[in-house]
Amino acid sequence: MNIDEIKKDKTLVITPEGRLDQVAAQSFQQKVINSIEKGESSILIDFSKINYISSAGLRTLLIIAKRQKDSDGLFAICSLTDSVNQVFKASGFDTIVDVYPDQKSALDKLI
Amino acid sequence: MLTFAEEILLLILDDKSGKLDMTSLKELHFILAGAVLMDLADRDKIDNDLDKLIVTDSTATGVKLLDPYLAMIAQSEETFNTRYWLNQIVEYGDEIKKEALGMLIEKGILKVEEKKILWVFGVRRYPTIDDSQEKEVRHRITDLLNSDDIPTPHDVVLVSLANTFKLFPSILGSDEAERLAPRIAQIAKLDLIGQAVSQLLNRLYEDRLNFYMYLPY
Repeated sequence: MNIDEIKKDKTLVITPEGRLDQVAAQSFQQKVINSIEKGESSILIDFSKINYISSAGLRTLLIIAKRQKDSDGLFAICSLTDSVNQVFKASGFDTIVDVYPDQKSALDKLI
Repeated sequence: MLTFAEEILLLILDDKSGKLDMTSLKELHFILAGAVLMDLADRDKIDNDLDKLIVTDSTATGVKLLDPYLAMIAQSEETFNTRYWLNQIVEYGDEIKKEALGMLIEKGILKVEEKKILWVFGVRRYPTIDDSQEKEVRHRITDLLNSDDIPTPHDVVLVSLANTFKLFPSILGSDEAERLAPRIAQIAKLDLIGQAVSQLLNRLYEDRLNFYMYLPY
């Protein structure tokens, strides 16, 4: 899985690309957890390039979100594609973490 | 570490009498089938979405309670959804229950007692010897429900199974269970396998209701 990272003010914007399933979940989780451990206090995951998420992907997001919240950090997700949005709605995941329609609105809240 | 099937059995068993609620055997089998799939997912052996369930690693877990079902799914030539596999595994509900109870006895958490009802019918009961694991699960779940903490995937599964089996009134008390119902529903919904178990059980209740409605007087 290709994962881009860019710092926008105090927020680290992480943009994974492709499918967030069990194959990709572990490396994605490790990369984000490493950033949390390095002290990134504000993390935004941009989902605009993710076209599929499975149960394993949701579990990974849960672990990351919990880890960041336990570190008193900020965490949000933005720019869901239709297929991912469908899974978020079906699982109620959007009631557990902050989800924004686009990067700009997310960054306005996080910064 | 206990499997989900063991954890849910500990929550269902009456600690002193060691009795399982036998009026809800079919429901219990669905819960245990769900627990098996949730454990396989937790061990990165299977993955699922809203439409299908696939094996991602067919190597055995070494847990007798799980491996026959991992092999069953791995050997399938076709891909099916979660509900299909629950319907297959539920047929082995009694075996799963016996295996999970056996594992709890081996771990020194339960003991087995043979009793006679009306001096004739033999029944087996499983009183608790060591209730520390069960207490820890109850405390953890109660703390989670009373906070806005993000749950661990493990706790999502337990809340989902306990909610589907309607265990929260006995775990929390009826008033607390009612007060915390929205939070319970929010967490339970997060697990897609749990959702499939819940949907199948709802269908079972509907079928049962229809059966009784059309019984001749």
